Amino acid sequence: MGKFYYDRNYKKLVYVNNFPKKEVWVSKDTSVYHIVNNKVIDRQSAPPVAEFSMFHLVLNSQLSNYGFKNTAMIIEKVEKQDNMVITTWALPPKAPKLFGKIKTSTTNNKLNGIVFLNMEGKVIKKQFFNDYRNIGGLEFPHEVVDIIYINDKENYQVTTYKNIQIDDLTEGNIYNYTIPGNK
Amino acid sequence: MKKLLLVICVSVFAFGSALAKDAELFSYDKAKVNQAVSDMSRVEQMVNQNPNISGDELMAQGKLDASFEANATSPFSVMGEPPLGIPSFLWGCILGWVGLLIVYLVSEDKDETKKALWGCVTSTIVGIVFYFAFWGALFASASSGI
Repeated sequence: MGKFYYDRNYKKLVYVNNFPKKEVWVSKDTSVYHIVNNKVIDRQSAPPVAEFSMFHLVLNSQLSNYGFKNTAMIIEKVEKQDNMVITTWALPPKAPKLFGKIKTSTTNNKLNGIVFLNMEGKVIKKQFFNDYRNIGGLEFPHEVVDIIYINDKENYQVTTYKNIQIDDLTEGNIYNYTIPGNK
Repeated sequence: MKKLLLVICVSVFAFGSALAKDAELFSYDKAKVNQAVSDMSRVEQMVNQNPNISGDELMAQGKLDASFEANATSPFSVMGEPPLGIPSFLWGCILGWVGLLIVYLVSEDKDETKKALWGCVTSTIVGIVFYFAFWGALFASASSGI
């Protein structure tokens, strides 16, 4: 349980975790820092993809396509079923086949869910975005449900968001969190 | 003519089935999920009542068992160690769908990807294979795509 801070100008995502451990995770450019007691205890390289975080996409009103439009992923199919628009995304033909197709569904331009398929077309993971509420003119999902399939068994993760604030000026410094110099 | 009608009927039926299948992908048993995470909801209530309490303290009080921490920080710990030591929960939040795929690629039975990635990490040449294998796939051909 903790707080996320994100400023789309800094593209620095800060997660201050209070439970079960007090720790801070910061994602900036190609690094993810793990900070405990104001000391960097670990730094890992990760892809520079702040633009793909849910927070960035919401702030830029791009959550409906989950950032796929900023990639080389190809729209293979778009179909309307019931009240959903389902889009099937595929890797470009020349790309290495690391994973299968990805399907997204939207209702009234809001992302409902995303389904990941493996190369054999079997579902490996689903993610659902629920309880959208308008915060400062932006539609933010307050519940994200992850279902991952391991050995045909479902495993769940539910993330709930509360007290979301846009243009928060009271904790300005933390949005540009300074990484402690010592490791 | 009958054969043609039959083919059309079969095609329409098959097409309809395919559509139904896609729509069904986007449903899940909410009650089942809520039941599965009910223990976490109970912990959340305890923490809300005492915001400064730690997981260790709750364990010491016998209100949590030892398996809680692993489940709380990495609910998908059954997949093994989280990629790069970063909890899979954060991969999804920070890196969106890309992060979710990373978790899959290095946690699923893809030994070559896993070894390549971890090899890069341990030799501090971080991300080279990763970029070639993954980002190359997504971004290298961006100019020819969308």
